[in-house]
Amino acid sequence: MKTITAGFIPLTDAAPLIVAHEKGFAAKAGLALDLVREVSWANIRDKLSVGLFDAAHMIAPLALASAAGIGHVKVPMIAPVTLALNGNAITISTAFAREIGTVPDDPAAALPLMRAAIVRRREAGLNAPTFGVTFPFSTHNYILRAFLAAGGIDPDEDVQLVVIPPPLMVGSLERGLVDGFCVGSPWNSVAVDRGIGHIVAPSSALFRAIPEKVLAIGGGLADGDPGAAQALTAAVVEGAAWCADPANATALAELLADPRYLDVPAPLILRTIEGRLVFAPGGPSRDVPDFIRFDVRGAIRPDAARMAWLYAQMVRWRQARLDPGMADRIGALLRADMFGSIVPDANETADGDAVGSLIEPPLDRRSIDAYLAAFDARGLPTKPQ
Amino acid sequence: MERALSDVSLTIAIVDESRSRAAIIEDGLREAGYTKIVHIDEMTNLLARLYATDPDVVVIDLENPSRDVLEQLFQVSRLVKRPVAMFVDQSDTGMITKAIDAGVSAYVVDGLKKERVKSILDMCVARFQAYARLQNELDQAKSALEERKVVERAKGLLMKHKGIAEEEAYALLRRRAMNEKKKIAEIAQAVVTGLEILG
Repeated sequence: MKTITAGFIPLTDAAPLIVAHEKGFAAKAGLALDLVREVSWANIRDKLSVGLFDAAHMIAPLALASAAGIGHVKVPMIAPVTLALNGNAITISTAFAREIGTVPDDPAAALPLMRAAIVRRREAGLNAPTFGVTFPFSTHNYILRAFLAAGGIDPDEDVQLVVIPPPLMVGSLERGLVDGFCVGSPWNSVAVDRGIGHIVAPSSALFRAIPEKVLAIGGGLADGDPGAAQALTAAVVEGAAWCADPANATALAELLADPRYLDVPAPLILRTIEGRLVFAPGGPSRDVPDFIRFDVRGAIRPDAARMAWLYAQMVRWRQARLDPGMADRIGALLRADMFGSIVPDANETADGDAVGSLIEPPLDRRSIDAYLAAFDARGLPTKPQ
Repeated sequence: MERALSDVSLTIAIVDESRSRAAIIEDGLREAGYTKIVHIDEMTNLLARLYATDPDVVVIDLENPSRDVLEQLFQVSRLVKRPVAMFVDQSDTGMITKAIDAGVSAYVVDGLKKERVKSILDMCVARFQAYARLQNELDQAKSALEERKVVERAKGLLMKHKGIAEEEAYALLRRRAMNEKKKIAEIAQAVVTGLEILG
């Protein structure tokens, strides 16, 4: 039995990795998984970098940035399987909800109201609203920015974006340090349950398919023991398949609720797994299609076209320069051959609008510059949608 | 080697919720001649607190979730006055591994030479390791004390319930521990639990 040390952050989308361990898929593949709960993405990256971790649950844009050396020293790794699609939401405080007047069911309809509230604050000489995201290189940062920009709100000028670790997000909303945030499951539902937050937009209502977390395998294991890296990938694929089976939803919620993992009540996790979200404190639950996805064919395969959207955001928001060599780097990171040998007929989606944008111009990975041309220097769309 | 005056004039922020560990680090830095040291132990509005002190070097422990907040300092934005680099970016692998292993990480203002901050990080790593050792010894001492207490309690209960002398009660515990290949404290705990349930 080879021992694999893997770091994770307590979030619903660490499920395929946790399940690979708990349901014996790793053991069956000849691996003893030692799961280590971490407190920050920076720790995950650095421990993977120096080899204290063999593998990790990692936000997809951080894997992309670290592998390409964007914003940080290059960290050799591969990301052969996606752990989940979507699962995020944008939540505002009940106080800010009162400020904008009402929170409409349609996220796009909330934007003009938010914009008006921002203008009122500016005219009254008050501070711009502050929103929390989890990391500079995160889906949360990009999804929130894309949402605001779609409503003509400049995320760098009209609001203030600050990084807050997910477990501290709800507390920051409660103390009025932020007016809203974009974060993963289950923290939006925790805020609603505490009566302090109002969900404005589940991320799947803005983009249908954004890779959220990946299994990052450090260069040490990927190059030093390719067999074990492949076995780990296969175990996580099995874990995801188990998570995707609706019959396992309750068991999965109970498993994740354990103090060693998420340490939040199981019924709340179940709501996020099943995509039945309560949007307002005391309100009814609504079905959110594709809120979080673990399905093997559509969701967890490594997908270069979807990763290209994340890369385009780095360029759009001035974290990176457009680099034509990036397509090759994404290919080397995803190692689609590894997933292909486990699920032979799981082809990548056709080129075109791979992330299923509902609020902005579509991106075709073969012409990232055409996508970027649809935005001005601030990252705002030049033509309203 | 003589240290340049400009080095000891660096402002160093220690971000650590543990006051005792921060004190140990601060002592070390003062011994090395640094005088401008700021300890931040409150994590709300960390970025604003950091800007208020405008440090050249930030030292943070890895148990701190607010490490991700510092990652924002790398970004060029109107929020960030002086762009910061992570010390490990400029360092050698051995140094990085040692620091991460010891549970500490450092951020430095962009442009500051590696040599100028290496001694600071070296010192922090050594102090973090020393602190972890102390903590470990303290934990061991605590559990040794707990074990002694439970053995005393088990002896007392046995003396009362069986009407035997102290030496005999102890011999009983020890014999049982040897037979079951367990620690005497474990047997004592079982005796205490059992006899307390029986009343």
